[in-house]
Amino acid sequence: MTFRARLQQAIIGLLAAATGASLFIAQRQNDASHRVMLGQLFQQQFSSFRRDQERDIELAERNARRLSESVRLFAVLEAGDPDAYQVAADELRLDDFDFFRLIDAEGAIIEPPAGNRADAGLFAPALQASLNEQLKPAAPQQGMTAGYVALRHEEHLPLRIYRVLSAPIRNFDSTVGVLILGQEMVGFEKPEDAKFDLHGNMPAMWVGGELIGTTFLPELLPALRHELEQGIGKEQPLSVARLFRSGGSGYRLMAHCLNPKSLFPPAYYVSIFSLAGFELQQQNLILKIIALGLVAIALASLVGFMFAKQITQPIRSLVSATHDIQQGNFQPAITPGPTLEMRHLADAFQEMAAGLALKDRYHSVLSMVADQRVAEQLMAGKISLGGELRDVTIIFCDIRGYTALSAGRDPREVIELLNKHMSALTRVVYRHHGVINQFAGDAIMILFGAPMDNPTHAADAVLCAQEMLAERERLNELTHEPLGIGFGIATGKVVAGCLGAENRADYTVVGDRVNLAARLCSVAAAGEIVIDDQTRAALPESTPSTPTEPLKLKGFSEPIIAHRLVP
Amino acid sequence: MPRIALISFLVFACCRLASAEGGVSGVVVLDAQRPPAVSPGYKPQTVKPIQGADATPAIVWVEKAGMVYPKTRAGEFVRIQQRGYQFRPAVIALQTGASAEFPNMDDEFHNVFSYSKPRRFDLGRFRKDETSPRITFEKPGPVNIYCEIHQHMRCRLLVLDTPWFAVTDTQGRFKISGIPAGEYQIKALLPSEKEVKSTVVISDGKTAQVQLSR
Repeated sequence: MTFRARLQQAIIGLLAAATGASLFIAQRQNDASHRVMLGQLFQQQFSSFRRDQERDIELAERNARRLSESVRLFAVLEAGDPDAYQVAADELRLDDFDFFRLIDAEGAIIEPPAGNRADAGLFAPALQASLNEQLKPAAPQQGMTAGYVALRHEEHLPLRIYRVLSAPIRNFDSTVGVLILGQEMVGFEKPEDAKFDLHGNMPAMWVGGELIGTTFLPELLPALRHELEQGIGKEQPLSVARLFRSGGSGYRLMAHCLNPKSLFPPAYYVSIFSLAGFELQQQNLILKIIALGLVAIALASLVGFMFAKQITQPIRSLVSATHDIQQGNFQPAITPGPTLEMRHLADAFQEMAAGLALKDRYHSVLSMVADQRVAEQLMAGKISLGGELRDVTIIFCDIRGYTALSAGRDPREVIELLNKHMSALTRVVYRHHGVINQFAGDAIMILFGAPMDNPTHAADAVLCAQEMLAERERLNELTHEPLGIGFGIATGKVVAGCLGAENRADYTVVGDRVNLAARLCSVAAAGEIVIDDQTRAALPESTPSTPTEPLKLKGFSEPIIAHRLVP
Repeated sequence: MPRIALISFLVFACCRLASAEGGVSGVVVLDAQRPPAVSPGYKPQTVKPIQGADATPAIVWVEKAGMVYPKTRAGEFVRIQQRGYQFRPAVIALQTGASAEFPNMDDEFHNVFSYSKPRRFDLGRFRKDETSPRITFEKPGPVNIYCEIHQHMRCRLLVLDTPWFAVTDTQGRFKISGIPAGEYQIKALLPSEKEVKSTVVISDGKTAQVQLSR
C-alpha cells in the first residue's frame, strides 16, 4: 500500500470516527434535552390538572364538613332513611358538582330517590348500576379519597369521566356515612379533533382499563392500550414513561397516577407525545453532521493527497534515480522536493551518486589494468600481499615474427594491430575463465587456477590455448596481415600473490613453472602449443602429442623434454 | 251475707292475683358511656352556658317471645324537657302506645326531631312558652332524638312491647314488679348502647335477684 493510500486511509478513518462520535453525542444530547422538555411539559400539564383536582377535593371536604355539622343528616343517615338525599341537598352547596351520593354507616349506597325531590344527579338505570358498581370501594372507615369513574351515556358516544371524591361524614366520634361528590372531567370528549397540539401532545385519561381521550387516532389506540397495560400492570406505579413506535413513527407516553393510595382503582393522567417532528429534526441533524463529515473527509483527503505528493514525488524521483544508478547512470535527474528535509535527502542522494560514480570509475580502471577477476578478488579483500602456494597452469602466448612486423611501422598502427589481436584472444580467455596476468609487448601471460581454485586448470588451459589458436587462425583468414602465434604451457606449484610495494603492487605468480612456460613459448613455432610434462600428465592419454627433443632451456640446468600437441 | 261473701271472694281473688305475680330486682353493671366527644370547631352560640348531661343509666326489661303483653303502661306519658341545653331525662323507656311531650325550659329555640324508624317526627322550632306537640310511640324500637340547633343534645328513647321495664338509678339498681310467674329473658341496654341479656325465673310473690353485666 502506498504512503498516500495509507495517509488517506488514516485521515478518512479518523474523520469518520470523529463524525460518528459527534453524531452519537449530538443524538444523545438532543434526545436527552427533548426528553427533559417533554417531561417538563407533562409536569406542567399534570400539575395544572392536579391543582384543579386539589381545589375540588378541598371543596368536597368543605361540603363533607358542612354535612358533618348537620345533626339532621347524621340522624337521617343513622336511621338509613331515604330522606337523607333531601336533607343533604338542603345542606350542600353543590353547584360545582354533577352528582352526589350517600353511603350509610355499613358502606351500602343509599339509593337516591327518583324524581326531582332531591337533585342527587340521577342517571339512567343502567348507568346507575354501573356507577354504583364503580363506587363500591368507598367506605366510611376511610378518609378523604379521590377516584375516577367512566360512564358511557349512550352506546355510540365515547366514555365520559367523572371525578369522584369520597368524604366520610363524622359527627363527634362516630362515622355515619360517606358523601360522594361527582364531577365530570371536561377536555376529554371531543373525538373529532384528532390531532396533536403544537408540542405534539395529546392528553388522555386511563380509567379502569379504558383509555379515554379527546384526540386519539383510532389506529394508535391498540398500541397505546398495550403500552399502558404493560407500564401500569399490577404494580401500578406512580408514574409511567414509555417509548413506542406505531405506524412508522415514534411516540412517547407519559402517565401519572392521579389518586395514589386511593380506595378507587388508580386513574392515570396520560399524555401522548408524537415524536414525528422531533425525529424529523433529529434526522436533519444527522444528515447535516454526515454531510459536514463527508465534506471534511473530502477536504482532508485532498489536503492529505497534496501533502503525500510532497513526499511521494521526491521519493519516486529517488527511486528512478536508483534505477538509473543501477543502469550505470551516475548522474540521475533528481527533482528536489518542496520541503527542506526532501531537499537534504536529494542533496545527500546526489552526493552518494557521485561517490558511487567515482567508485565505479575506479572499478573499471582497475578491471582494465588488472584482470577482471583479480580486480574483483582484490576488491573483495581475498588476496593478501604475502602470497600463497598454489597449483596453477600458466600459458604464455606470443606472436611469431613480431619484431619483423613492428619494425619500420608507425607504433600507433602496431598498437592498434596488437590491441585487436589481444582483444580477440582475451575474449577467448575469458570464455574459458582464464585470468590474464599481464601483457608484455606481443606476449600474453594467462593463469588457470589462480586467484580462484580450479581443479581442471591444466585441461582448461590446454583447451583455451587451442581455442585461441583457432580464433587466431580464423582472424588470419579475414585479414591481409596474418599473425602466427605460439604457446608455452607449464603446470605446477607457484607462489601467487601481490608483488610489489605496500601501496603499489601487482597480482602475479612467481616460480620456475612461470619461467618454464615462457621458455616453452619461445621454443614453440607459429601454430604450435608446447606443454610440459605435468600439463601433459593432466591431459587424457588420448590427447595426441609428440614429445620434443630434450630442450636446453635458459635458467634450467637439465635439458627438458616437453610435448607438442598435435593439432 | 251474700255481700260479705262477694267481698270476701273479691278480696281473696285480689290476693290470689297479687300472690300470682312476682318481681325482679338487681343491679346492672353500668359500663362507660360513650365519651361526649365534641368535634373540633363545634361551638354553638348559646345565651347561657351549656350544662352537663345527666349520668346515663341503663334500661332493663323482661320479655318472653310470643307473649301477648298487657297494655298496663301504654297510657303513660313522659315529659322530656330541654333544660340547660340537654334532654332531661336523656334515657327513657316507654311501652308501645305511650307518648311524650318535649317542653322547652331554655330561653332559646330548640328543634327536636328524630329520623328513627319506629317514629319519625320533627317538632320544628318552639320556644319556652309554646306547648310542644305530644308524640305517641306505636312501634317498638330505639328512637334517637336530636335537636337540630344543638348538635350535642342526645336523647335515647326505647319503645318496648313489654310493660315490665325500668330505668336504673345511677348505680345501676332496678326493680321490676307485677310479672306473672314464668321464665323470661331479661335484657339491659347499657350506656354504651350495647345490649346484655340473661334468663330469669319469676315465681309467685317473690322477687328474683339478677345481676347483669357485660
